[in-house]
Amino acid sequence: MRADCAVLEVRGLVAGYGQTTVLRGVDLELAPGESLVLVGPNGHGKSTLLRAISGLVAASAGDIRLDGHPLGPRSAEQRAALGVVHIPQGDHLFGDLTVEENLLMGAFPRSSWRERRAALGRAYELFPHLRGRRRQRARTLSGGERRQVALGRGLMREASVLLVDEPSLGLAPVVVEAVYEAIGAIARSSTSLLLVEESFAHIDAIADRVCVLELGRIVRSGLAAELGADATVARSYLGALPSRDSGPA
Amino acid sequence: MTELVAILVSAVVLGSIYGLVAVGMTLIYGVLRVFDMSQGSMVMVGGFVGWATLQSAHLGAVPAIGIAFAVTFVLGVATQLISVQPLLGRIGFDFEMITFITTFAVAMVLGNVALEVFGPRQRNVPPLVHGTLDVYHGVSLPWQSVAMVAVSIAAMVALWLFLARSRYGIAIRAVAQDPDAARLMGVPIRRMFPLVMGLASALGGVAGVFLGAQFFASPTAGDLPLLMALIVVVFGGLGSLPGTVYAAYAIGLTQSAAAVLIGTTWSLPILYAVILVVLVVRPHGLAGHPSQARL
Amino acid sequence: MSGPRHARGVWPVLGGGVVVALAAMLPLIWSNGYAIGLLTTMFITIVLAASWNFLLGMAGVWNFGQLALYAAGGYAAGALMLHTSLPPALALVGGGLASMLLAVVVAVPTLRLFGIYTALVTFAFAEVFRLVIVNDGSGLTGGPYGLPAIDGLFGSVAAPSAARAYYWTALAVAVASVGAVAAIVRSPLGLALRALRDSLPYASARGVDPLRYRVAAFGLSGFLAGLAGGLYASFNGSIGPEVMGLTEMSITVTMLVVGGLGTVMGPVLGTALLTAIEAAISGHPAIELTILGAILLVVVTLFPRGLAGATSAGVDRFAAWLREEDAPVAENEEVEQPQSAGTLIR
Repeated sequence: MRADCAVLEVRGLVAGYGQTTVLRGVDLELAPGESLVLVGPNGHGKSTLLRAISGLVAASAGDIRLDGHPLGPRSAEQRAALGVVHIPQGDHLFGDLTVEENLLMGAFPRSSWRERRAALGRAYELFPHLRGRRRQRARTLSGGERRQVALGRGLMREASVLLVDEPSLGLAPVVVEAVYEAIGAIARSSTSLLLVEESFAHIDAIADRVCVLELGRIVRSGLAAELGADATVARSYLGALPSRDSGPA
Repeated sequence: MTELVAILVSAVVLGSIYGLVAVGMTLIYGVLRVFDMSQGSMVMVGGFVGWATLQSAHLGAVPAIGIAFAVTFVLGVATQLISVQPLLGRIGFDFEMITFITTFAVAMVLGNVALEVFGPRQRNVPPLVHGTLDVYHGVSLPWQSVAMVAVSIAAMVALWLFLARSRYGIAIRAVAQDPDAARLMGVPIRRMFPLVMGLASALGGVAGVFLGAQFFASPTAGDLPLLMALIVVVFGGLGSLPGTVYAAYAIGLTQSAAAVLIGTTWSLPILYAVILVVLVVRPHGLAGHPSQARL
Repeated sequence: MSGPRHARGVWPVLGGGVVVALAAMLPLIWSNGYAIGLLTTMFITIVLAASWNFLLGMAGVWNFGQLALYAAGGYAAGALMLHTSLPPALALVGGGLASMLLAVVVAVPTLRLFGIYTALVTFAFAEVFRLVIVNDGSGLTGGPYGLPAIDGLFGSVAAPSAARAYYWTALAVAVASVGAVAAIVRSPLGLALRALRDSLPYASARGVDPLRYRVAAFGLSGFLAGLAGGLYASFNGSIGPEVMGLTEMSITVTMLVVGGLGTVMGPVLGTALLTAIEAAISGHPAIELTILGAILLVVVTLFPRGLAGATSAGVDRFAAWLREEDAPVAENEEVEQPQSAGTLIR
């Protein structure tokens, strides 16, 4: 893949929290429209990588480029305005705001009232269940509904790159199916998607490529089918050899 | 019956002005997690601006209010930049306690400067509006107080509309809930913080114009409003604007009832006693969460 | 406030000992009565500051009523000296005990509160105490004029010797207080208090009872404050409600923060700085608050943990450089983890 085609390019990224270094030189590329899934053991830096890309965590070394432009000195707010959309782990909804206000916040950089209303309409199409809950305070929603709001909020803007962190976390299997229907639609669209996930059952349905992050570095990268069939990867990170019908959840 | 009307009228007047000063403090706490102890100074400055524009420059009520708003807005922004902004994002100390003390230091400096510049003498401020309104037999109210109530309520409603309906208002509420998530949506929180504090301080400044006209302008004119506002904010539930408004009128009612029924000299100590009891029994106030207060 | 990680061993203690020895010799070589008196007051204020910092900084309790405890000790000791034939030293202890009792009484309503709520309760309590005294017409406390003509510790001794006696007594008590606080900080009690301050749910889940420790902290702090108050009453010859004013509180709290809340040397540095400033501007008292406020804002902006916090971090860096190690954590990052409290308590 030629570097100047990549929408997101990460080189030698080193980042962490205070004294603790989590990312120890991450190299990653995301092509336009590609859906890349990041797997790996817990605590090895998957969420930290997304946070470093979106700007919530400062990098101590390395380079992040969006469409060829370095993101380095830019704050999280500025990166968001450039089209980096990060849907963080655990929703981070604005609890006292209503569903509709949460969704509208997703469109904050859009200055036109009309554009924001249009985006809202599209969000309700994608998650019709939310339309009936639009005036409800976000903190009173169920887990699955909150996840829908979090995803819908992230989709309110045109994303240059969409970062999604564990969309199936903490949800009942039935709800996870619904969530992944929406994500499947996103993956098939022209959005460039970087997704962190544990559950392999859905990965091969949506991923163009899979990367394995271990101990702060990318150690394997390849097509979903390749990695899925690789016994070491499956056993180490995903619990068992997956099969089409009964993947480990 | 006369007594009841007097109590209610006085409660509305007190409650409105407490509300105006206190909603500013609640807004600052909700968004910045700071107890802004300089809010009383903003009231004091408002009083002096009122005195200067009305007494010396002979301008009308509206310019007085407008100038007070502008001056205290700028002061509020400056206060935030000096006493809060440098501490954001740093760890190793108790942010709420230290900012409580740094904003108090700003109040200390402002009070001292005012004392030096204007002297300790109380300055009389001409009334903004003349005349009296007879409400009921024996109960009359200066039109000035009516104006104070009207402006306070209008300001609180305007603030509510701003926060509930406008794009930036919703963003401010979002920042109060989860600053990091707001940053991911592109909200410029570092620019927003000084502006929020400026707005809240400006509300205090407007209150100061009215209080100055009602009583007088002096370097210590903000001390009691600060204490009352702090009590209202805590009583109403930290960070809750509706709670603050209810608490403002509740405290206004308590104070005016005590003043009318028992006498003005005892109204303040009785109020303190009530506050103390409430704090021990239900410290999280009217609208707060129990976890905010209890060990 | 150094934990085992930053044990700098014997050097700070030696250095402190040298300073104290020099201070002790001062009245013998310099007979400036004004300076001796100023330094004596400074030592007394150091005891008060140390007691306040113990609650405010180390235990993290938003206590804004300390001056009432200080005054109570002064009044109690003064009354004991005036109306009983108790030896003056015991009267001082009596003052300390009275304040300790009062502190425990104040602690009770704040037991289940924290933060701003505690601040309001302690402040209200202190205000009530002050107003009660100011409006006292019974003659017990002397009302707004206070208790006069207290003979103090050395009432029968001639003036210059008495001044030096007070100087050394105050110095000794200040050193003892700071040393006591330093010892407590390193003790299980100190660790428990800091654990409660930094991470309450964790600490109480590990069995540290917040209520008991808060009462203990208030009691100790009250005792020291009362001791300081008694010393003040003795040295000053009188005590009045003016020591409890809002201005006094503002000045003392400002200096606590500038010195460094939660550090052992913070109260000492802060008080020393305050004394120096007050001496420097003694001709222009009007701008004192402005100067103090400005200093607070500048120092806290640069070093949120105060001068003591900044110098200890700087010394750590220097020591590490000497040993050619990686520098310890930068000044404004987390220096301590509270995990040690859990292993020491029960």
